[in-house]
Parts: sequence; C-alpha cells; structure tokens
Amino acid sequence: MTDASSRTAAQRRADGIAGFHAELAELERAGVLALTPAQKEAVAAHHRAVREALGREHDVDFSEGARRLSLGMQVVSFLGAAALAASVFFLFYQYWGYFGTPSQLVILITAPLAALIAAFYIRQREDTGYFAKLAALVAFACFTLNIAMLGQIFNMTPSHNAFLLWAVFAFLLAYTLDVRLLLAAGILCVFAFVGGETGTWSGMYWLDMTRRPENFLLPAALLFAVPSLISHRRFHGFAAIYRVLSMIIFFLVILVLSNWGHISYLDWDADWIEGFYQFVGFAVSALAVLWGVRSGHAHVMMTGNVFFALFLYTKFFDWWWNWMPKYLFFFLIGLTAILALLVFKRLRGVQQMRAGA
Amino acid sequence: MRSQLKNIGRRVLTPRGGLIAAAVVILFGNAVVLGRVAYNRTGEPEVWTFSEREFSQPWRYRYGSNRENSGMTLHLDWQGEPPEELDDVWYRHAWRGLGVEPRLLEALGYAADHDCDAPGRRRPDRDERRAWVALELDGPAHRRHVELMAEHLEEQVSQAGPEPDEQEKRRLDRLRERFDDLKHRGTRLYAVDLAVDEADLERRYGDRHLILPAVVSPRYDCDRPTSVYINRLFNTAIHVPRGYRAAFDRLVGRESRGSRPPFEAVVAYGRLREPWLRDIRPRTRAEE
Repeated sequence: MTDASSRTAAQRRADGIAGFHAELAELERAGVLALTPAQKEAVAAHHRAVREALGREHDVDFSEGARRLSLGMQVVSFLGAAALAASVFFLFYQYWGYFGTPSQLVILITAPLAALIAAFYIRQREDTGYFAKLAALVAFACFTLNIAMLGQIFNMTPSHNAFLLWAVFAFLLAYTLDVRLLLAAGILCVFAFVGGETGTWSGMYWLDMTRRPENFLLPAALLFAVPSLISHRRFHGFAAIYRVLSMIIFFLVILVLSNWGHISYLDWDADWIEGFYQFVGFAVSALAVLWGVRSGHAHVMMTGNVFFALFLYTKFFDWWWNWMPKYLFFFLIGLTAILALLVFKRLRGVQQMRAGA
Repeated sequence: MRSQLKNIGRRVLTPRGGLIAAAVVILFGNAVVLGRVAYNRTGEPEVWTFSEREFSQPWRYRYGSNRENSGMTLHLDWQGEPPEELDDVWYRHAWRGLGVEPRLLEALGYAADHDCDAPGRRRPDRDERRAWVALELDGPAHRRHVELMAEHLEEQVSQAGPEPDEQEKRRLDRLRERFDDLKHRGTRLYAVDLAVDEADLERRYGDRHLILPAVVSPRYDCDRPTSVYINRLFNTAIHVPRGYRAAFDRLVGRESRGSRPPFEAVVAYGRLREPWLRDIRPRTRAEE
C-alpha cells in the first residue's frame, strides 16, 4: 500500500523516486556519496515495491514515453466518448419513429441504466479506467437523451430543472469513477440551472438566462471556492477543473458586461457600468495571477493571465484601432507583451529566491 | 456536521454506492417526468380539432441534421393581430404580436412607456417574461384580417389604374396570392389576448379559446400604441405517435410544395396545457 491519496500524489511520488535515482547516480559519479551494495539493494527493493503498488493502485506513468502515451490515451478517450455519445443520439433519432410509445419509453430508460452498469462492471475488471470512463460518458449522454426525448414525446413545456438532474448524475459518476469530463459537464449543468432559476426569480423566462449575465457571478465564485472548502486530494485534477471553469464563466460575464453595460442589473448609466466592470475585470484577473503564483496553482495563474491580456487588448482595440496607424497599434501591443515579460521575470525571480531559501 | 457529511460522501462514492445512487437518479428523473405526464392527462381534457391549415408545412422537415430523424412532430401555425403593413409578405416572421394596454405592460414588469428622447445609452428592460396567450380558432380575428386584406387589395387595384406597369402588376399578383392564401389555405389560429395569469384568461374565455404559455417582450415604438411581441408560444409541437403515422401517411401521401391534402387532427390539452394527439382523420370537401 502507498500513502498517495490521489493519482496526482502517486505520480508525484513516482517522479520523486525517478529523480532520486538520477541524482544518486550523479552524486556517485562526482564522488560525493556512495551507498554500500546492501544499502543500494535495500533502497531498490523498497522502491520496486512502492512502484508496483503505485502502478497497481493509480496506474501512474514511470517514464516520459509512458506519460506521453497516457496523454494520447486521454485525448483518444475524450474523442471516443464524444463520438459514442453522438452515435447514441443519432441512432435513437434514426429509429425512434418506428417504435410505439411504450417501446420508446423502455429503450430510453434502460439505455442509461445499461450503460451505467457497464461502466461499473468495466471499472472492476480493467486497470487503467479509460474504458469505464468512456462508458460513464455514454451513460451520461443516454440520460440526457432520455429526459430530453421524454419531453419531446409527451410535448412537455421545457424546464431548466432537467439541468439539475443531469448535474447530479454527472457529479455522481465523476466522483465515483474519477471522470474529469463529467465533472466539467456537471459544473456547466449547475451554471445552466442556477442561471435559469435566478432568472425566473426576477420574472424572466429561464431560456433567456444569458441576457442577464450577472446571475452567473455568484455561482462562479461559489464553485471556485469548492476545492478550498472541500478537500479534493483524492481526485486527480478536479480542483483545477472547478477553478478554471468557474474563472472562465466569471471573466466571460465581466467581459460581456464591460462592453454591453445596458444588460446589467445595476441602475446606472451604461457607460458607468461598462467602466466599473472593466475595472473589476483588470483587478480580479490581476489578483488571480498573484494568488495563482503565491499558492502554486499554475492553472489559476494561467487563466488570470489570459483574461488580463484579453481585457487589456479589448480596451486597446476600443481606444486606438480606429484612429491609430496599424503598425503603431501592433507595436504598442508588442510593447505591452515585453512589459508583461519583465513583470513575470521579476515574479519568477522572487519564486526562485524562495525556492533557493 | 462536516464529519457526518464526509461519512455520507465516503459511503456514496464507493463504486457500489455510486452505482446505486446514479441508478436512483435515473429512475427518479423518469418517475418525475412520467408523473407529470400522468397528472396532465387526468381529468377531462380540452379537445381541439385543427385542420391541415393550422399546421406549418412541411409536416416532415427533412433537411440538414433532421434528415435522419424518423420521428414526426406537427407544429401549430398561428399568428398575432394583423400587421400595419398588409403588403409585407414576410410580416408573419417579423411580427407576431398584440397591442396591449399600458397597465398590462406594467403587470408584466415593464415600464408602461419609454421616453424616446431620453439621453444616455440605457435601454428599457426588454427581458423576456412568461405570460399566457388566448388563441382563437376560425373566429372574428381571422375574418377581420380577411376583410382588411380584401379592402387593402381593392384599394391597391383601384390606385394602380386600368393599365399598371409590369412591376406594379407583379406586386398586385403577389398581393392577390397573399389574399388567396389567407382566405383559403392559411392558419385561422389567432392570438387575441394576453395575461400574466392563466386564471385571468380562463375567466374571460373559458374553453372557447386555446390558452397556452408564452414568452413575450415589449415593443416600444414612439409612433405606435404599446404592444408586445410573442417571442415563443409553448406546447404547439405535437408529437405523432407511431399508431397515427400510418393514417397520416395514407392521408398526406407524398407531400410536395403547395399540396395540402385535407385532414384534421384531434388534439387534447390536459391540466398543464400540454397536448397529445388523439386522432388524425380525413376531412371531407363539405367540411372545408
């Protein structure tokens, strides 16, 4: 047994072991340290046992080649899941007209149940988990189709409550089978549900949720805080998905409001609203970069960085595109990139100093 | 509390717990949907008989991604009050609205009117709102529209004189075709009233009018009286179950542009005003 609680921790441990052996070889070559053959054998035996356990429990990669192949498998698994989900959808569309309503009902209800059982069955029999994840994604697609098609068969008025059901289902599968894509789907369903629900509180129709983007700000902030409030160490990459997705939604809302102030709830002049949200956009994205650097969350830093640049360039475009010669416009953009490089170099220096200390 | 939640989480997130919980979500979701369907169909439904005129063509839309769809859904075709521009052949796509009293706009949560000369870029609130619409089938609204169109056509013909030029001739031909379509082939289902509460319309119209949920937004036009756009009218799509497909195919045959074989569809509307098809049968010439 290893003490690694998630795949991330297990991979870190495996990398640490590889690093230790490489450094040990360097030290021996330089004559700084020499272990006795008995010590070497003891360390090697211990590490062999640890690596075997890590491989068995978390399917970690022990070499660069394996790591690259793993990444390839993740991409293929994602594409396969998307294609299979589309295939399920079109298969049903192609033939549903030939079935009576009871048969349609049986197919629609049993399809997600069958895919669900298949996902858990495969999980118990296959080490890597890729095939189980694929089956879980198909189960989610089947359940989405199930509820959507029942609405169509029985001519029901559309409702945003379906997103709540899909979100619960996606979260359950994501956490049980460790499927990041389903976590992302669940988070997006939560946004759709909360956006629709808060919209209806103000008398709006739920499908019109995007016309009041401020409805998404609070859910985005809450979802960003989830990994800080509830530990996700057991789940590989989940914290990053919570943070990055909620940041993307948050900053997109700010970006929209900083250009179209008239859709805000704020009862101010549209120009003031746009100015206010431009300020918020710059301030929050800069804070995200700083927080990301300090806390070691590279994904937060990167997302903040991208949106800070986006806010800046949108503003430059607003101010200068029409009256400035294009060569000067792009020259200024280049200068800001150089300025950003200098700032990051300074930040990196601080980080390096800390690491050295 | 936190440790209790953690314990529940640990139990649910085991493979067995996750499987059971996910299966429960599937069954619960389906039970809710089917329960809603059953509730809609309890009691005595309102039954409406629509002719082929009240359904938009083509009945089977077979283009793009829908080419492979073997299912079939009929869509009710309807319209708002007659537009100001009777010449405009595209008006039905641009204008499906109703003139309303300013107090109804206020009841919907909008400003009663909009100051067109107000400075600043702030626009009035135009968020879509839920409302209920009363629709009249083959009643005074349709007859009035036909009369208005007939008067307009007569006026245009007399204005054009005995020998109109080619362009004017083509315009008048299009207008005649439009009038003919309105009188003999177009839908006779008209939105005639609107309210925030379903009960208001029920009180006013009982079961003489079809009452359906809708989504509306205000139309602020300084030169015209206050009105609303009916952006979406719900429960107008009626799925055709396999049991009725054969009857429908026999009636319609090979559908082609312009062909409208006479048929009538009996549609029931339940407690939640959600429809289901009860019958499709041929319509005799005498009924047309």
